[in-house]
Amino acid sequence: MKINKIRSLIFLLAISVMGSALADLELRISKTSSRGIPVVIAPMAGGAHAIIEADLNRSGRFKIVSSQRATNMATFGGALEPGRLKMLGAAFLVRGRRTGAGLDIEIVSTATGKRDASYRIGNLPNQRRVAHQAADKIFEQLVKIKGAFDTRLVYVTVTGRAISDRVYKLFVADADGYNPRAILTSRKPVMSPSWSADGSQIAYVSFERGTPAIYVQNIFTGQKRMVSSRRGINGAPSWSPDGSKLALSLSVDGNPEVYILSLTNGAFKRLTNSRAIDTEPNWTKDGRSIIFTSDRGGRPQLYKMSASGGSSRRVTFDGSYNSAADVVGDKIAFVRRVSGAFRVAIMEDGQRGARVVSDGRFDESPSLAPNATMVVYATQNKGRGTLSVVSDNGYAKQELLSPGGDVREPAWSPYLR
Amino acid sequence: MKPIKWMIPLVAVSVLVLSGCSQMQQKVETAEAGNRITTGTGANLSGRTGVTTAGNALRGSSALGNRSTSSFGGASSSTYGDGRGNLVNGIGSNGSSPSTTGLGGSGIGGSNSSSFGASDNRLGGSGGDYKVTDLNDSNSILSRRVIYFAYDQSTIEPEYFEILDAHSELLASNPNLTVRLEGHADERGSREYNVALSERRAQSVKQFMDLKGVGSEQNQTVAYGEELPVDPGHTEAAWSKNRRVEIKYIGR
Repeated sequence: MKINKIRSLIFLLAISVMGSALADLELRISKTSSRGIPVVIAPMAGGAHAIIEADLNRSGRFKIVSSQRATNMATFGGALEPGRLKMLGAAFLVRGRRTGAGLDIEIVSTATGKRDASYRIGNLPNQRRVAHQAADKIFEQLVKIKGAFDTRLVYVTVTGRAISDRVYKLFVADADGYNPRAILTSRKPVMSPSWSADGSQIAYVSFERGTPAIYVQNIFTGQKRMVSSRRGINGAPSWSPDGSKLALSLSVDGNPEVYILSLTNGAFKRLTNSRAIDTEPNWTKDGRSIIFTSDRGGRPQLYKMSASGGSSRRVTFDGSYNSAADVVGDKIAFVRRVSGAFRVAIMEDGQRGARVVSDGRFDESPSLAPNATMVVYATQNKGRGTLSVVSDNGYAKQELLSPGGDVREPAWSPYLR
Repeated sequence: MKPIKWMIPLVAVSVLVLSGCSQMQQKVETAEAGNRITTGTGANLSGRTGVTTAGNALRGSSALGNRSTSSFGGASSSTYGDGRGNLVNGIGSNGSSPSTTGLGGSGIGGSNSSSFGASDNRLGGSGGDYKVTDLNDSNSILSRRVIYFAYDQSTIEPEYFEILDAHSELLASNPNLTVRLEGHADERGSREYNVALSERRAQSVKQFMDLKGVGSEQNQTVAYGEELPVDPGHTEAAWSKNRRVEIKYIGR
């Protein structure tokens, strides 16, 4: 009992240090879902319940009942009185217990009073990840979709107002904005980060040399190498699902075209051939197709073509501006101009209709969570660049603000391995 | 122990979404297709180079007259010119293309009349004789090194012909001199698409210079997209300063 208390104290200390000293981004919940599965997360030693609550809330699929209501029934495995369970106003009660090995979680149905599922999450150096993994288990058990809370974001921050004062940084953080770590600092613009399929590397564009070049960098070792510095534009890298290739946009042949770069032998293969702008390629999950932006029809629209070349077909038809696709599973998130504002929309591949899920004027760079239930994008709040996370159904929304400077170009990692 | 304390930053703070502001409904006028510049190879009056451009701008009736009406929509999605918005050059039309200067005037509309007079009236740019040292002269036209563009456009406005002619002449007569043409876009729209747009602008300037006899190796382009705004504001006033090509003399 005593040891347990000390353990929770250490846990609390660990996360409060991480939370205050290193959290460059401030999390704000701007919209809480009032729909979805009502669930109550009982208070847990060390505060893991709050992380779990925030995660589940972000998905737009839960209605979070205050954990205070379950204070008297918070003991993991403890007996439950059916009458009081029903008074909770939730369909499920989640309880947890810290152990030497990690965190135990149980999901109890309030209707039956029975435990539906239980999990043991192993300890990790990053204690918040333990709570995120618990949230992933709960999500999968109740929603029947793999959870994607224990994931990361990469994004660009910019400080300094005058061009000569600007500092660009590439950050990797937990998907809720905690534990940010700068992996690159530059006086020149850094753009378009893209994750490798195994979540260990980032491809990005840097103007470090005065002209744009594409680099690939390991997020753990910091080791990087330049993979493309052709004449003209070297932009919009997107990692293939098998990790062996980058799709990118080059203007070496005179105007921006989509190419495939083999990371194993450095060979470039041109995919598109038009006099228009062809850029912002993104792979479908099977690695067989590319969805990209082209203004070959006079306005930027999304097109799809085989990753081995050939003809392309138009994907978006509504609106005069559709660009910057991110594809996960059957979902495509992209930028759409709506009444003069740029917003994030989500559509199903192969269908016509799209749902606009953001409401800013300058929303851009959408990136879907690996389970496609949430999308992170760049927006503006009082003239400053911030990130927003919105659930695909639009019910829940959170903002990630930086105390100083702009945050932009988020990219959501794949599932961590 | 209250494990709640650390989570204060997590506490829900409702943020009012300024959706009201974003509902700006703009009526977008459709532009005529004639919104382009034709740089014809005029009569070979100048002995300096083979290519002489008289900066004859043929402008159809354009949407310019509408531009002042709104900050957001007026230019948006309206003027795409030939679809590419590119400089259309008429090399090879050899003398038959109109060689008298001036802007084929009709259509420019009252809104932009100031740009009228500033346009190039010299045939073949023959009257220049610029020296490299003029680059340091703040009174010289060569001190003007930024070309601005309309929204979603890469067409060079006639008011910049004079500036570009001056730089072209200097470069053509000093083959060792090199410039970097840095293209930029405003913040609206997606970032990589804006990189591509800004390259089109830089290419327009490069094409203009190349037609004036500047060696192709003397003017490389760099496309920065919306990454380096001169004015970080979020109004049309800021955007119009950010849609630009900067002429940077290398090593000077």
